Amino acid sequence: MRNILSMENISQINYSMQTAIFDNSWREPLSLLLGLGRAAGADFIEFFLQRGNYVSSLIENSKVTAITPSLSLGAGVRVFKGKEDCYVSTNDISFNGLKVILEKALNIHSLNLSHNRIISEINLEPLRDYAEIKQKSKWLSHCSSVSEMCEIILKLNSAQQNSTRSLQSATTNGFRDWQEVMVASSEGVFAKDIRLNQSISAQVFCEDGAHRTSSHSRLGDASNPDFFRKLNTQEIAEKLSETAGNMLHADFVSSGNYPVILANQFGGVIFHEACGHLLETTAVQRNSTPFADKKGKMIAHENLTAWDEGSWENGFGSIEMDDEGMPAQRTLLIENGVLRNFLCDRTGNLLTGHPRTGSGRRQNYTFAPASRMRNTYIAPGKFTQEEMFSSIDKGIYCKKLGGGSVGSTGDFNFGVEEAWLIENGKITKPVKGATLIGQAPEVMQRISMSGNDLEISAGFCGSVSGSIYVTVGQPHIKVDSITVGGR
Amino acid sequence: MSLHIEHLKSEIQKIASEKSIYKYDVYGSQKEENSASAKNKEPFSLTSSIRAFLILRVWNIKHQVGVTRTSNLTNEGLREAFDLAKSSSEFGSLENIYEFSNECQKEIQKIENKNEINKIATIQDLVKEVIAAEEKILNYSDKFKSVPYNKVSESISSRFYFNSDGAFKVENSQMSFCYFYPLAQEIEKKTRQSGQLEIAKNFSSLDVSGCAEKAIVKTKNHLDYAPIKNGKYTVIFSPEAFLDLINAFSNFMNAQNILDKKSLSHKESIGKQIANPEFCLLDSPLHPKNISSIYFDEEGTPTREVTIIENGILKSFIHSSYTAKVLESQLTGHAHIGSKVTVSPHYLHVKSNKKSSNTKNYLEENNLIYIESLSALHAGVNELQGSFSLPFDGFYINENKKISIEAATVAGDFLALLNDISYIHGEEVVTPNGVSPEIWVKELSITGL
Repeated sequence: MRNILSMENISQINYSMQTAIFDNSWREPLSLLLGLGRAAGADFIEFFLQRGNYVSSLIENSKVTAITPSLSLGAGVRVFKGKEDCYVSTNDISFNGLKVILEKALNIHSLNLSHNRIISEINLEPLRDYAEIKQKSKWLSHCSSVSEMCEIILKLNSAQQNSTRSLQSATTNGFRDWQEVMVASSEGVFAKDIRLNQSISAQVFCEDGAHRTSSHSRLGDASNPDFFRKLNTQEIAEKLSETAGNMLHADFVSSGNYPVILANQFGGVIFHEACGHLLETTAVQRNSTPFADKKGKMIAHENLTAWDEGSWENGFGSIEMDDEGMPAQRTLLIENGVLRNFLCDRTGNLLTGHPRTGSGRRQNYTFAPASRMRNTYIAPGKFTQEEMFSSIDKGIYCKKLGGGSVGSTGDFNFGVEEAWLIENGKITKPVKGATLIGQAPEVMQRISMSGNDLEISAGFCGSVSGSIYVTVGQPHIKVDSITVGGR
Repeated sequence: MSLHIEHLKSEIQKIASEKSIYKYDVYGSQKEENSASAKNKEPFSLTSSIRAFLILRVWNIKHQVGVTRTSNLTNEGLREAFDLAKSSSEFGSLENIYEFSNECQKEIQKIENKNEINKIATIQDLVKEVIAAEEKILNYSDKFKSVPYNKVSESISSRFYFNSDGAFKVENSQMSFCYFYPLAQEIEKKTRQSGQLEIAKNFSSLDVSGCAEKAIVKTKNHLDYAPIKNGKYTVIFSPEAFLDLINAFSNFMNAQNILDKKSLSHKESIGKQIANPEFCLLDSPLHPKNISSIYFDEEGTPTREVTIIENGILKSFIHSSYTAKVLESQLTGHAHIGSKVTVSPHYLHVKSNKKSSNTKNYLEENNLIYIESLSALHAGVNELQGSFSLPFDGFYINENKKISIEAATVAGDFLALLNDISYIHGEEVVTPNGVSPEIWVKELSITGL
């Protein structure tokens, strides 16, 4: 193996790496390219290679209306000079294609490949192959075929139609997203992984005269090729139709401030949006979080503890390693109201000094990694649902939340898909059109009760490094007061 | 850019012939983009990319269609895409048969000078401008703490469509944009944020400094604020806010959504009064002020101006070639190809049918809400129910005063809103999303924090 080269030799080298698989054949070309970057004066260089095989099936009212396969192949290089970094991406993963993006990245830092330099290849670690350790190479062939996937999705679609009144349309969508990724850096990281995310979502739209409602449900999983085979389609359809049935003739909620109980499972999206994003060092770097200087301080009610799990078995947001090649970790975010850790990637570490947590994530090679959540949840507390409801005279039970978002000032909002009035400790009637709005730091102090019934739910999260798979979760929680937007 | 489209076309033709696929079409694009941000007067988040993708549709002998999208444009990748598209065609519908657009061979009428492509700006050029603009904002006042979201970017791209019948269209374009969203704070008040997005034909004509100035003014206007009392108000939507809202509910004009029964309209809705009789709405992709105008859709159909609402009456939907055939309408050039062809508007143009000489000034009115921008549309819009409940940045207008609102949401029903439009301002404003005047709507529900 060559260890020292002069620049003149480089143009004569013709590497032929395996393009159909990321394996040890990539060691030599990547270590040479990393060496080139270092010789040019870059402080840190990292290549990210990715190949994707995705297929989705859409069923509408008992008909297969779209089968959409998608293949992707590409790479990106990130180059640091001091604390400044840049990212360049391409579809061309040939040796020359990677050299082109490296040169471009170096040029951005006003560096270049000088002809009379001696190039020392980077000594990469033995390939850390998570795919082999966990025997993931057969995942793709073990997954449901498109035909089997369609059969299962059709079954769910049919159950949706059979169990829903005043139905206008029933839509069911499933996808399988398989990705092979490789990371190599000038610090010697050389690692690969195979990722498998599968998900099914169902939606019903009902109309009765002037009354309209829609209801949506999603299940997702990482790392289980049998995901579709193990679905209980009848149960999914029944829950969905129950929500739609409850909400179709519901009155609009009156706006105002209420005590609120947020249900478990997808209720966790409120923590994800209102607090989780503000604990990513991406937000600290941008000075767009009110929690930037609050590590070790009380930022939430003493009853609140929250985690971000890197690698939960079957968690939709689980990863073995992050997109910087760091093994995923379990990160304690808040302990009894005290902020313990931020979610941190390499750039975050460099710019904020917080320790890396294996949280550098991205949608694909077209994005540079950023600190992102994985499986984030509020830990279970001691209260029963009965104790929580009986503490409220008049309030709102948010049984099913929709999506939401948080801005740089900490202002957040969430749509509520299924809401009920709580009167004298009891759930009474459904109400629609509710939106929860508030300020994250204020609401975190008002989560006064956490239930003992933690459940999790699959979701997507869109942010600076694209759309990624995440898990949200929580037990039932009580927020003492929150603004509910309505009519 | 690296991809040679003519070469790609002949390579695909060769593979199709080897694989005995006689009917196919391809839509794709390649894009080169440079962008830069600034943080505390230093370069930050510098990115560059050269990427391409294509969507391949093939027809099997039963006329079923299969599709594959790929960014692997090597010969090996294209072959794999053909195999996948062919196998997925077995699931293609036997009832809803897609065909090439009747107009995919039709020549496109190009706008003069639109396709002039300059050399793309270097990252160094962008860095210089973005740092100067960030500095301008931070130096404006010590109330301006940071500009967490800022970017200057330029891209050049080529879109292409070709098919096995010989249709072949290529369109080159160039675009540059910048945005600045500063955070600012008065002593003992909450941090506030607002901002500005500007878009231009290329970097040399992009007014980065002007964008920063507008961001300063907009943010400054929100530093002093007050809570708003819950209740029903007459609401004035800024052109940007109204266009955001109408785009969020565009299923009412979307022919595919109508066929799928996922629309606020039905096919019988054409000819019905759905809005204030003064209200007109067009989709105008070739509007001379539209920087991101396109000449053809993803089926190769030339784009054109379509009147959607005229005098409050729903006149037309927007179509793909399939929906136009099923609903016996004219083609409109709004298709996105895929296993299922979808439809979306390009560049909406809202206007009044009256040329009013006495335009109202909202500052002279009392007890009004002015909505400058809406946010969280993905979460606060239920497009199937027709309802919305959205946070906004805006002002309370009373007794000649304009007071920033601390935090609030506006809620309502979209179809009711179209009918409750009480005034359409005479002055149309060009925005990156379309053209619109300010729109006044009576009796919308406002909830303050």
